[in-house]
Amino acid sequence: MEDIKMNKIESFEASTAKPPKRRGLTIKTKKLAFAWGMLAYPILQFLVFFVYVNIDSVLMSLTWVQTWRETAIFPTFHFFEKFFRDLFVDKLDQVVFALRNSLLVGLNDIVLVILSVTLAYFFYKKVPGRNTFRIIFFIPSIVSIVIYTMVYKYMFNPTIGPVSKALQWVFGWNESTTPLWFSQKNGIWMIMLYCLWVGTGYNILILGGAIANLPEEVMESARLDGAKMRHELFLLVIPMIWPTISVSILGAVTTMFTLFLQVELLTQGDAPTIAYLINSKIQGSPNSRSEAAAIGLTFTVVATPIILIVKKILDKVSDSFGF
Amino acid sequence: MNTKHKTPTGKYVTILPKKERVNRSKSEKIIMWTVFALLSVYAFTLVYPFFYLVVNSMRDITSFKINPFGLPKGIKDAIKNIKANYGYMFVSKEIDMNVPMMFFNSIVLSIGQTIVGMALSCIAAYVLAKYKFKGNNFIYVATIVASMVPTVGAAPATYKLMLEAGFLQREGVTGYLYNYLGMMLMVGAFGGPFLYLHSFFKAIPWSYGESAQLDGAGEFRIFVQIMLPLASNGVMTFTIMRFLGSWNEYWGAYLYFGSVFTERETLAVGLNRISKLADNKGRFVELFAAMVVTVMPVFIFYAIFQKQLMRNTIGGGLKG
Repeated sequence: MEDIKMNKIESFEASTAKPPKRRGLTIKTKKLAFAWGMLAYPILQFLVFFVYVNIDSVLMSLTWVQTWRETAIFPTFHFFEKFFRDLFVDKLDQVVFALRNSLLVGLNDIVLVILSVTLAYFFYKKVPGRNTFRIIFFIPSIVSIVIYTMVYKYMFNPTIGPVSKALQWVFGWNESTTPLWFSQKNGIWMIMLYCLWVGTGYNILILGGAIANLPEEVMESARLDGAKMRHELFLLVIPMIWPTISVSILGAVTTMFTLFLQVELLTQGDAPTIAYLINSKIQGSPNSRSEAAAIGLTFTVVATPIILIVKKILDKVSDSFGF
Repeated sequence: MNTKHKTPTGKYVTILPKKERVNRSKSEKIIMWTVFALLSVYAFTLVYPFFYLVVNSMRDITSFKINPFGLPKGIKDAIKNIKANYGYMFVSKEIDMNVPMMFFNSIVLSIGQTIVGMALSCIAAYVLAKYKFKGNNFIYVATIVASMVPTVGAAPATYKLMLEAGFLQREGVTGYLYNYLGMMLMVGAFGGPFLYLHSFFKAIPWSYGESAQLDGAGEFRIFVQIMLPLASNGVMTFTIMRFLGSWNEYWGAYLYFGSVFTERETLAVGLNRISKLADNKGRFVELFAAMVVTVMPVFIFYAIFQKQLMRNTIGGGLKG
């Protein structure tokens, strides 16, 4: 009898009918208790480390501690005013550079996507050695950024670096006349080169995966119709993997506002980005953190609509392809 | 199409089709070989720095400075230098370097963060994928929206929270444990692995759970003994990725763990600090030895799990 009853119990997931009662709690109540019990900690963690932290970030940006009067002024736009004054009136080098560098990093990432799409296409076309390349290209995504930035710096070290030594030989420089690669002037270009260096391989693999999943019969019929490589790439491959390209481009736009570790590790802050400006102030005084929160909030407000607009444009492009 | 043929000895062997030949025009061949050359140079630049590190960590500083591209003078010389360089980098007061401690910190932090992170992601993904209740959809959408908003300025508030909660300043073993607890509390359930695992669990038919339920299994048992093993492929991949991510993590490990007390530095954090000191003191070869030690576990992991990692992170569509 019990078995027959049990057989009638449908999966909780699929069923909307009231499940039969068991002794004590009903199955539905048990399932609910299990679901909420299991979710309680993850949700609490999310509420503290995402919701509370972001609300507190807004409050921090509006708080100015005046140590000499031992008071805190709230609400105040002091730190927002300071940031805009630094940027537009005083034109502080660090802030202006940070904004310019962030834009350059974003553009560089878009170049990275274009380069990767093109090279991923040749992977699909069975370039010789592709299996070995795959194994090698994955390495930067598993090795620490600290190690990669360090080896990159050593490669360009004027005394011991193979790249610098090669350039010295080509251009007739010596150790003292070799450019300071990671200075304020050259640092951002070296950061961009670094991002291209470590990012291209992994992007080729991601985009190559998307291209390999394209229906072979479509490509085959295009080939039979006499399509050349460029036709295949621009008229078939790019439109058909556009959703993957879109995600990569959105990632590039987001990087504009988040890249800072490379700045710290390669240039020790000499070529700052906006995210670096924020993160470099975290360990300072409460006012320094408030300033960082204000800059962060400003750029969250700037970044969100930019990302949404870019996404809308990318969706429109996708629609125009008609796939 | 693979075919089976009988050999004269009576055994059956599988004959694989001949490698597909690609007919290309002359110009296409030139393009392909040019791309091959470019990719080869690029691949060389990714691998050579590690060769440079390993080789030079087996040399003495004088011969390295004279010729950075050289090799050890012989096996005896290499062994002598390995002892000196790796020995120096293990515990050095000169540049305040304690690799065993850094190694310990990296391991305990990576294992802890991986276990907590994966447990939370699996639980949240499973419950939201398999249980229908009021608020399910809201939670799922909220986590996706949260991951899309570029919260550029949340770091100062997080740091303030950790500082004010007292996780960062305490000294000694108790302070270490407290700090460690803080690091674990910061690990959340939602993010990239959560979204992937959610779709993994969603794809598993509930009928497996249903049969177990009929056999009297409780909810937790269904999750642990039925559903988790069915999603093991994805879980395993993200566990490896999570471990490598934590092992390589710099900023979080620096800001919340290693920046206040040197003995809490992980390998990544410690290496970055000592690289400046080593530069100033000309201790390049010893630093290379430390870098080799840091990167070795990652390469061992990669060698073991390379296929699984690549298949599940960059898509199964990579055909040969």
